[in-house]
Amino acid sequence: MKQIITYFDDEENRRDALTELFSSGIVAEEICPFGSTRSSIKIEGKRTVSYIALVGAILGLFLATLLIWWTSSVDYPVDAGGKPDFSIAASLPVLFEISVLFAALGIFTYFIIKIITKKRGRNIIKGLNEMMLISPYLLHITRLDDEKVEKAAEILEKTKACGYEVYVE
Amino acid sequence: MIFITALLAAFTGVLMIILTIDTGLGLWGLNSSVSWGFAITNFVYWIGIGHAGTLISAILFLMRQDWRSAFHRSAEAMTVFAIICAAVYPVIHTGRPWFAIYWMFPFPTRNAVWPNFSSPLMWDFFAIITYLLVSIMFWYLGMIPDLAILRGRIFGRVKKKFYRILSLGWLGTKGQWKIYRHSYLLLAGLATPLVVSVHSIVSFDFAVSVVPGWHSTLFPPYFVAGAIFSGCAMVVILAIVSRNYLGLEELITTDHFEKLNKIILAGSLMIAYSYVIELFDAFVYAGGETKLQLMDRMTTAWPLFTLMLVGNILLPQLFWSGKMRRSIPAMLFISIGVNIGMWLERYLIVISSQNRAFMAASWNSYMPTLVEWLILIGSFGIFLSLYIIFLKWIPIVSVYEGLMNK
Repeated sequence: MKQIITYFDDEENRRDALTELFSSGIVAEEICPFGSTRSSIKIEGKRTVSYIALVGAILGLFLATLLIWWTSSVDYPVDAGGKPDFSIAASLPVLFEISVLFAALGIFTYFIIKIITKKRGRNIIKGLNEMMLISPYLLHITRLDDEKVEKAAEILEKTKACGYEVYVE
Repeated sequence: MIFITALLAAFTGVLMIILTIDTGLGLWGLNSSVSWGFAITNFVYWIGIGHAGTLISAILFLMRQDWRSAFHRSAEAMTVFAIICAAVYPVIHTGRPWFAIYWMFPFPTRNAVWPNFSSPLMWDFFAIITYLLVSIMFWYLGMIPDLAILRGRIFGRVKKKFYRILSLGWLGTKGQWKIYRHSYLLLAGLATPLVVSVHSIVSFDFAVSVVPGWHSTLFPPYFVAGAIFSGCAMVVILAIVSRNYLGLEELITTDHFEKLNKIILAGSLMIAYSYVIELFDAFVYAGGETKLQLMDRMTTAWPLFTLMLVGNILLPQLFWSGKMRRSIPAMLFISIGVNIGMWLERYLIVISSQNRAFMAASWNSYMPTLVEWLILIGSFGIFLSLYIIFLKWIPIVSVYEGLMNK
């Protein structure tokens, strides 16, 4: 299988190329090294990361409650002037902090895993890094056989791609 | 030159910390009444400085204030470095820091006693650890796209490798941006309540005690407002220095400073309101020891009290003038004044309440020793050294956000 990295002069040409490539059944992904305008990348789709934050917060709350309750009521209860061994009110600051910490750790871990696990060939990263210096409007076209490479090249020429390189996966 | 001076100060501070640990707390000016002294004053001051980072970064991000891009990176770095400086104090203040792990971490001592989770000192420990870790995650996440940009543009094997490892193979695909935006937004949402909670919890160290001058429900909002106020002033100082040092006049403009100075002005008014309420509480409601304690703060320690009022209340009023809000020398002078004022406020709260407690027999005076002063100077040295290293390696203004906003 082959891959193509290509770059454009502006966002519009890239969008045209992307539309044509998709309609021809070719898989391509936009590369936006400097981010993109807010309108083009909306917060949409499955909010997995939100659920992970929620699960992290609930897990943190549960573990912190368990720890405080077990240490102060079961393992070593201390009678301090008749005060209760375990009190939710006195534990609230710790419960809150641990819940927030676990939620944040969940988000961060999920993000790192998602970024690291999607491996790309070293030559692809090198090629992308070089093209980024020329233009911020890049396209990464993947899963191409010889026939699709020709078709993609044709589309790229038609949509005014400034240049492209073909890599073997 | 600044870096070498900062390193020297940091080295002296570390040396004094080692000396304190080796010799004992007898080297400090502490006594049976004033047991918290300089160390806790500096701890509260540094934690306060660490607050503006998350305020500027997270809260302004949630409010879609694009001007934050001029300050947020350096403010986040400031937060992390300030918390590192703050965290040193409670540990060395224990006198025997090698036992601190038994006292703080949920780890049973040799008598099988667990830490007391109902103690504000334990709340403090969890609050600071959480704030430090969340601030580091938020800071790092915000830097990843810029680290990837640098990876492709930097020369030199060591630097290239450094940026390659830290950028985690970030390319900026649409999928990556989507996860990035989700994660950044959620982390900002989680960091925002931490701004309020951490300094509120620090204030509980004081407020839940029965010491006159501390035992007040005013303390949580008073501390949070003060923290944001002093933190923003520190951001102004650091931004002016970095702007001149790196020639970033076009990226960090006077418009940006003006907006930050308005926050400082608002902070000053909140602090003024807190002072009035504190007086009202002491003279009208609490009376007795609290009143005497406050009177003592205003009379015995009047030079410090006056200087505090000048730094925190009078000087920031100059920001009512648009000309002052846009003048770099004026804002530098005012911000330094605010930081001195806020440090004095913590000093007066910690020291004057302890040396004039309930029993006249236990009244005592406190004078910090040279070792304590050198540790304070050392913490500024550590802070500045870390900040200068950060300036050398990481873009202090977010590159991708700048380009995106254009």
